[in-house]
Amino acid sequence: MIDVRILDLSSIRDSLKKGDFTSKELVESYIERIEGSSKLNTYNTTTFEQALDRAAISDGKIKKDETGPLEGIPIGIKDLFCTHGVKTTASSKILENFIPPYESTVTENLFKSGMIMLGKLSNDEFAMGSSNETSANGAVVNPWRSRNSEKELVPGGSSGGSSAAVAASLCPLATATDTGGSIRQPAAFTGTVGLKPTYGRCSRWGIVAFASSLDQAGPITKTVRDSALALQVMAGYDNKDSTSANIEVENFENYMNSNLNSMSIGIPKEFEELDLSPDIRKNWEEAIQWYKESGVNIKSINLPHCKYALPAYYIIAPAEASSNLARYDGVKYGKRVLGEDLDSLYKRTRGEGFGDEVKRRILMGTYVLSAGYYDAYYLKAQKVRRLIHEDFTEAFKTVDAILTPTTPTTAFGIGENISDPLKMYSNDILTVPVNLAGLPAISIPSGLDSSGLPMGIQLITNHFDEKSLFKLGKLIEESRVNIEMPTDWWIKK
Amino acid sequence: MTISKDRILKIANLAKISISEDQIEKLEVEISSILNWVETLNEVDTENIEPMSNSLTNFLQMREDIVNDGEKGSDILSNSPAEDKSFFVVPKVIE
Repeated sequence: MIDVRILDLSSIRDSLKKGDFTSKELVESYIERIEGSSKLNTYNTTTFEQALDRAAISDGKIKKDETGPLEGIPIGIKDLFCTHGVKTTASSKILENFIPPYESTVTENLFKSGMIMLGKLSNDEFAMGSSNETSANGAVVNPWRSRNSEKELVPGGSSGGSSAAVAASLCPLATATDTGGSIRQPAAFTGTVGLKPTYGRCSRWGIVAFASSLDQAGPITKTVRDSALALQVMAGYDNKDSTSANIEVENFENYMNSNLNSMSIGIPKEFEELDLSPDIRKNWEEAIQWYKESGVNIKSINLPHCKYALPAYYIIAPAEASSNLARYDGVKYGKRVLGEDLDSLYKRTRGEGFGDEVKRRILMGTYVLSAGYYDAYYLKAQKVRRLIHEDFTEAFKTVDAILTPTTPTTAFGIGENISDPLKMYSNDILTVPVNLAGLPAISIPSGLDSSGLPMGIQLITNHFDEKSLFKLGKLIEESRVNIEMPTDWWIKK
Repeated sequence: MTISKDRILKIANLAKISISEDQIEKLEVEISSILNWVETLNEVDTENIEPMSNSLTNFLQMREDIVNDGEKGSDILSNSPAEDKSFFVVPKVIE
């Protein structure tokens, strides 16, 4: 078996090309590791047989030199992406038996590039949550633990299955989605790289919708280079999504060794006033220092409306969700619970099919859109959204990127915050403004806190300027302390 | 702003979700605390500000309205909880 722990996406690509190992050997090695890692509860569904068949095809192509850019490399898919013929549940009871008769555009792009699906990864139900505890399949466990502690920690959410799987080397790349931080926060909690592209960069077609004006797909990987390789394949114009951008997808890997000399980074004053853990604050200051030393111009900037981003988000996102999730009615697909008439069929199906967090958000959304409350809540939040967007427009007139921590704390314990919605929501305070403005941002592991848990730093750039995220991101990897992999404490021997 | 039990029941009916008695009390507390919290938005002066529904409305793509697929009947019905011939089946609506 190959030791997949020491591999990443780009090293696998190079090794397959050189013939160091075959795709079949690689897939077998990941399968063995996934089978020994059931304690982490990362995969909702596995597709090992198809994966082995696909690996044989890829090995044939590699021999004939007819390969796609990521030929023969295994991948985990968040269970929010529809996959043709493979169960897609959004980690909800209401979709427990749903088998899509079509493929999402992003997964289609990845499979066309030669990638091989190992299975579907857990997430918070309908991507609503910041801890992956709301999944109908139960909590996902973070492969990281504090030094000298056996307490189980959350992997972040909603893409917690994706982040935990990459951190535990159960796939070298996982797809994820980000509506308010659901790629970046789990990446920060697990020592992985999480990229939320510009709204419109990756097609939303075939992704189970949560809040359509905010949802965006992106990759979780081990390195910044891998993130560039993955985006290259995932992105692109799609006429099946009317918000898909018809903008050229550059060769992102080319920007990995750029000179940072003439670049400038903004540090938002308002974020300095937030309640951040002392270790995270210190790490942020260190990161600023790394950029200064490499010739980047550091400027203080203002984003005065960003402190209102979280309340605005918790009106807009539930409003859109209440509308999007109206389709789960027990009639056309998914779970059905019979009642004495059609109305009670709807109510029972939805009452039993949705979990508590999803129900609360649908009710919140229904309330803020209902007659008499629409102007006071929904319209007000949309106006504040414009002000937040304008804050960023103003900032990017003077800087190339903005640097902040990704999260206010490192990973917390399973069960610690789940009964207090406002405390859980506060996890996304640094990530949500980016979604409201539709900007690209990346979370990169930037060090370990005093208890040995990974911390993430966030870079934000202007619309469609992902290349600057890759340019600047590499310096974090080069400057930080060495982050060793989590020990294999969960492996079944 | 607190939300009453009656209001919770009304929106649950609008959203077509059945909720149990003990859930109602919990939701009353949780939704009230969220509503109190979002009220901080009232501090922001939004006079003459246009609401923003999407971050990038300037490139919404238009396309010709043409048929580009079809023959998907069996695909569409493939996940239905109950069907008859080419129809979804629901409980009787009109007596």
